[in-house]
Amino acid sequence: MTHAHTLKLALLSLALLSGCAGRESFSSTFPVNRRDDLTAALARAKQQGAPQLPQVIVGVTEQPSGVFAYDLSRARLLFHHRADITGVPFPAGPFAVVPEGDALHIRRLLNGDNVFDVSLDGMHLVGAASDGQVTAVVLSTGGSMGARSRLIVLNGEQVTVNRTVDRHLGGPAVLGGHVFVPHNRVHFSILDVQGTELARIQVREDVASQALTFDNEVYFGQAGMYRVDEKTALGASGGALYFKVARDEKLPGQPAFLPVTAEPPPAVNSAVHKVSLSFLPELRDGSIGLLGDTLYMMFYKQLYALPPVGSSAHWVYQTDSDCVGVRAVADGVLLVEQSGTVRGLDRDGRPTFAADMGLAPVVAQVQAQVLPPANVQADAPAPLVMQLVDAAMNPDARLVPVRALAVNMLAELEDDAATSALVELCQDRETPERVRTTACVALSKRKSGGTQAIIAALTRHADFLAQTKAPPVGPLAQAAMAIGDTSVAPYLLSHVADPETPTEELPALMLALKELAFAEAAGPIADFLRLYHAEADEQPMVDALVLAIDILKKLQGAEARGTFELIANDPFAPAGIRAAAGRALAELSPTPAPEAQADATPAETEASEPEPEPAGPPEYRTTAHVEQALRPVIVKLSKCVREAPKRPNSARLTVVLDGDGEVLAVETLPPEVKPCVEPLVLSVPFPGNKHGRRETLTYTIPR
Amino acid sequence: MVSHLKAALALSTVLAVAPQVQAAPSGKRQATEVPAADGALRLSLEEISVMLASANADEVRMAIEASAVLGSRDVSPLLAERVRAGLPPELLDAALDVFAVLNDPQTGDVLSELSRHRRVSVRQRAVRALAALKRPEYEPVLVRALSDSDAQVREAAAVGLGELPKSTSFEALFRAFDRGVNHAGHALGKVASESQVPRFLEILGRVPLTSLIPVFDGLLSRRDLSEATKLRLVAALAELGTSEARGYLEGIMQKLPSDTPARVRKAVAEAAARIAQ
Repeated sequence: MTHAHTLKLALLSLALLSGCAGRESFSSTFPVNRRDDLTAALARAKQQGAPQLPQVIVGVTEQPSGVFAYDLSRARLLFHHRADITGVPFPAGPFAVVPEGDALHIRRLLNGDNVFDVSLDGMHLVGAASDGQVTAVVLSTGGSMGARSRLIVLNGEQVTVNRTVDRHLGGPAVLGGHVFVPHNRVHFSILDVQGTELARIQVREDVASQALTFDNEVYFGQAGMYRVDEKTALGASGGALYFKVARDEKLPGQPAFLPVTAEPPPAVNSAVHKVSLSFLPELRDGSIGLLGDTLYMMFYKQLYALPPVGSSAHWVYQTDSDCVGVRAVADGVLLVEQSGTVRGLDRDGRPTFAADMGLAPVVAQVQAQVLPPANVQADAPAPLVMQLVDAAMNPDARLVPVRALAVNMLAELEDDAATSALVELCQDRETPERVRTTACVALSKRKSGGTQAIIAALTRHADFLAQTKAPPVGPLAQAAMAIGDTSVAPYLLSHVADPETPTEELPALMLALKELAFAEAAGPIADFLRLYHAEADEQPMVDALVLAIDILKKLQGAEARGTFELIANDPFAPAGIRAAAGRALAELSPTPAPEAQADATPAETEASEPEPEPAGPPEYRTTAHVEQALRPVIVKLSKCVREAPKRPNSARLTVVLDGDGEVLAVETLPPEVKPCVEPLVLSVPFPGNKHGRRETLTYTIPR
Repeated sequence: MVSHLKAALALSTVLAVAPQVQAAPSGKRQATEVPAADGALRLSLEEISVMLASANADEVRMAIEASAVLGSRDVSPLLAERVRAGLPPELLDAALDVFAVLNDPQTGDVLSELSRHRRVSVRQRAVRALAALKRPEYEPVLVRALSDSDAQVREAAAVGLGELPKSTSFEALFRAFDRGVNHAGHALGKVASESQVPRFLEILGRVPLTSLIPVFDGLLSRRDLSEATKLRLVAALAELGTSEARGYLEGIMQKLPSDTPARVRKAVAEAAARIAQ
């Protein structure tokens, strides 16, 4: 043997040795993303086509504690085995895989007989799957660091693999005698029935947590799902076929899209099992979607069929008892209720099948591909708006989050019925606050579809004898404003003087009337302003009154001057309202406000010079008239303030003027300056007004 | 100078009644008003008019209170005008109390407006005062007040409707009675016509007799109801045959007006005796 031959032999041996070591199943050195290996393995797996599995429900009862299997095709109980069930069992082809006490039992579905059992050894059941001939079961401690898992594979009833690995294994799938196993969060492997790893994909941009098969295809993922093919390793952004739900809102309870297998499973009787998602993948036009464009969300007593994008719903179905299991099938969805009822609903949400299993499960898993033969003749489902209204009004306190979701879905519907429903939900004080607020907000944001409903709601007023409640005026006003339909204005106006209109809703009402510019509102708004301007002790009322001033200014212009004068000069009115009236007066006047009122209130500082009167006295007198009249004595008046014992920064002067300008009364604050101020005030002439009306005016005397 | 004298008049009023005001302007007339015997201030109409326009809450209050003892209904429009111009809560309440004292039909319109005020206490006062006017033109206002969210407003409205000489509000009162407005029963006893009496006989036995007692009291005490109608009422009570009915019949004997027809009295006595057997 030459030296060259010796070297070649050594290299060949080394290569063979390293190749063997590197291809050990689940080893960290197994080569990833080998396209040819993957193509070959997938081709072999898909040769046999999609399997037909027994249509069964496997679940847990608490009283008595046990596991059961129910044959959906024959509508009969297959077995009910009493045992200490310590985890959620899975149907897997011809078996029920059941954690019982400290052991895992693989039982025949037909009779519950034990085929194989193994100690759980501190692990929990992660998942099980079968193609009818080959069955895979995964146990794991969970977690990423220091995880330990067991893979069991059966060919028929013969165990071909039963090994532990020092890594986390996720939920398996089986197709065509091949086992698909996610592991270590970033790997997805294909194994043959002997457990030999044939190909491995390194995963990007999602977690490899759970595998599933449907329609002779294999998928896996966690937040979304990849289709397993030659492009999967490229990741979602690299061109792999990937799907993720893109709803506008977070779903109540935030159920997982696919099981998070690295986390410990919830207890058998956990409420988590009553909030879950189900779907089937669908390949179409080179992308992945959901079959029927539907994601099913089970939430206690409600099942929502949701499009995977947007915020609407296809339909909602409500059950009498809590749901403990849901499974999307090719032609609809199967629901398992705590009462023991199994229901099949077609893709439109119409019940087609119902059966009573005769026991009360706390959790159930369904293995089915299609709905059982129809045995229920149900009417067509109610219109979606009614389904959503019913869902939103369900009194079950646990449903509040999903009721709010139903309200948001209602808001997506642009018709009068939806608006009416939002009105009802918004005004019902019995409705939980979260649901009611959601309805009110949705109502206030409506931009179309609902003028008639808004008018119908506004036509109603609180009436004890008629037993009617006040409508949600604020949100209705906001909706009317958004829609911009002026035909609503008279109905809005009717609520201005209604004492049952909540104070906090008055600003929205006023704003809508301002925007809709309803001319007939001027009179009632002026009455409202006069009556309440001195009673505004809550901020919403102040806001409403300020808006009322804006409305009057917009609708009446100079005609509103009298009302503004009254308010701007009323010391009983809050400063903010007086200031607003003063601003309105100033804006109505052509000349700017006089100076020399450094310490005046906003109303006073912003009151303008009186308009030049072509002839005769002004219609109303303002602070500006007072200021003008006092100019000859203003220096002396300031001296009065400066020399007052308490040396105030300013003094407020109030004068009551008769219609012809005669001073009827003089008051000051502080009172100490009055003896000095009063003779000065009485010494100057004041103008009269056009209609001979008495007026009370105030003026701030600076130091 | 005239203006100064007028001002002095007003100011002297203020000085006389407002302890916080220290001095009168020099050379002005002295105050002429004196406290009334009941302690309330007596001010002239002109003084009230001026003080109602004051920027001082105490002065406005004095003017409002003085309005009640002025003895002139000329003050009502002034007060109404001041109320419509907007008053702080405590002054508005005071004005409403004065309206009640004045009991002046001229205040009916402003009371009607205030019957829809946002504050419940204002509505209560307004409806009570309006009811006390007993003016048929305000019947629609009182009917509307039966639908108020506040029980006291509803009760006041029911009382008022019962006091109207020719109330046409039977249906509204009947509905209010059905909804538990206590004084609606009293009012119905006063306003129900002959043809409306059978409505009570229809519900007799279906509602507790105690709730119908005010109705029967009113009906049996009325002089404008026929003897036949009263006899039907008594017969219905006798037919009821309960101990409550017997107790009521025995009690009503003492309350019937002296000019109640003898046949009615006899029927009441016989019905009570028959039930006792």
